[in-house]
Order: sequence, then C-alpha cells, then structure tokens
Amino acid sequence: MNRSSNPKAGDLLRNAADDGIRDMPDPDFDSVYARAVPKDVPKAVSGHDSKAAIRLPLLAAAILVATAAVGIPLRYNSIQRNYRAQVAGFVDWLYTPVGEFPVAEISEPFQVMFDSWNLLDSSFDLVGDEQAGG
Amino acid sequence: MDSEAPDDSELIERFRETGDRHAFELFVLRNVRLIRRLLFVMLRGQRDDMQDAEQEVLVKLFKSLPRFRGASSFATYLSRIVHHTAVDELRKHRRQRALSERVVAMEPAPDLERIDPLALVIAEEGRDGVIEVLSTLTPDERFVLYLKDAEGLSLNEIAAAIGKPLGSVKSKLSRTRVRFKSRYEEIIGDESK
Repeated sequence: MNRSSNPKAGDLLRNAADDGIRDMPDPDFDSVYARAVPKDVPKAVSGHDSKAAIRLPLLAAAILVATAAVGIPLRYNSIQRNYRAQVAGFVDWLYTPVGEFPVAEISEPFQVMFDSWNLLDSSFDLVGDEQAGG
Repeated sequence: MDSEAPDDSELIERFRETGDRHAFELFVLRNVRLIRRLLFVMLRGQRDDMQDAEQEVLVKLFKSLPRFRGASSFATYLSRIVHHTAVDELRKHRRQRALSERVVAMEPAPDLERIDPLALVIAEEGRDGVIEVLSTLTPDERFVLYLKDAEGLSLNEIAAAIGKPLGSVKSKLSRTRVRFKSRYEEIIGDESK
C-alpha cells in the first residue's frame, strides 16, 4: 500500500493498531466453515430435491383443479338435464285431460288391479241379491 | 520471498474454481492482520467485539470471495466487508455504547478533563491514547482517517469501501485530521503535565 500522506497520525494509528491486535489467536477456520456451510440439511429441502418437494404438491394441486374444472360443469349439466326432464313430464301429466289419460299405457299390474275390482263389484252384487231375496 | 508462492489473485482463482479451502486459508492468513487492524480502529480495541466481528468477516469472505472479480483492489474489498461488519457490530451494542459515545464525543473538549484520572494514567501508553482519541470520533471518521493515513488507501478506494461520495470522504478526512490532532495533543499534553 502507499505510504501515508500524514505520517505522524498514520504512524500513531498504525502502531496502536499493531499493538492492539498482538497476541490474538489464529482464525478458527472450523467454525467459519461450520457457519458458512450449513450441514445436515434434510435432502428434501436442499438442492434439486427441494425443487421436487415443491413440484409434487403443485402437480397434485394442478390435477385437482383440472378435475374440478372439467367435472363440476359436466355433473351440473347432468343434474340440470334430469331436473328438466322430470319437470317436463310433470307438466305434461298436469295438463292432460282426465279422459285422455293414456290408459292403454297402464302397465300390467294396474290391469290386474282393475280386474280384481270388477270381481269385487260382482261379489257386491251377489251380496246385494242375497240380502234382497232374504 | 518465495517466487513460487501464489499471489492473492491466484489464491482467489483457485478457491473460486475448485473450492480449495487451503487457498482460502492462505489468503486469509495473509490478510488477517489488515482485517484485525481495521476492526481495532472501528471497534476501538474491544477484544471480544473484535473477535466476534472477525469471525463474521471471515464467514462473509468465504461466501463472497468466489464472486470477487477484481473490480476493486483487495484492500478496498476487505475494507468494505470489515466496515459493514463493524457497523453491524456497533449497532448490536448501540444502547450501551451510545451513552459513552455521547458523553465523550458530543461534549466539548473541557469534558475530557472530567474523565476519571485513572483513565488518563492508563493513557500513558500511546495505544491507549490513540484509543482514547478514536473514541471521540464517529466510526466513519476513524475508519476514513485510518485507511488514509495509516493504510494509505486512495480517497476513491475509501469512498468505495464505506459507500459514501468522494466529496463527503474528503471533507470528513480533513475535519477528522484536525480533530484527531487537537484531541491527541490535549490528552498527551495532560498526561505530560
């Protein structure tokens, strides 16, 4: 280094500083390295592994969002369609005149039920006749 | 001097390229006296603080040395690290130090006469006298004065080391030289009576 432009003050300061640092121990490099290079960092949060540790949850979240984005509208449409069909069927039934109700389309169990009513009717007649004759 | 001994730039190059810790240690051992002298001035000779700060400086050096590209001189580079570290160290002890700095630095010269006579007896030695005077200066003032007058750095290098404009460093230096001289003469004069 260049020499001082103010030798007297410079020498005083330099001598004082040299005197002040005398007997200081050698630098402790082990503790310097221990502080500068952290050890025992878990693999999952260090280097490339830390990237994987971040990517995996992100990927899972992305899949979840994509599934929701596609599935929810589809499901909603399906619900809507069913709902509309049911409402339309109800309205049709509501506005159909009673005489025009499609009896022919009544299923067999209903037919059996009507037949049994006829039997009952005739049995009522029999009972009535007996009472009238008695 | 051994002509085969690598110079500082070669050591840094080796450390940067291969992480050679031996090169780092050699570089530090060559420059540790400069680091310690600067810390002595900044921390006014407080051994415990100096050792803590030295450790911190070496950690910073270990981390930042691979990025050193020689844009400034080694002295400037080291001075900058030491300055930042010492300022941090001083901040850590701001409360306890602020009181004594205010008492010594903010009071006019006659107050120096009220300092414990025992302290003046101790100040018989030049080192203690210098520490006494350094204590009356701000950290930046003593750093500028020391770098210029004791280590011989240029004003531009000093400005880069403490991160202040060149003009500010110039005025600080001339002001501090006057103060240092008058305070030192006061203390030494009092001692010699």
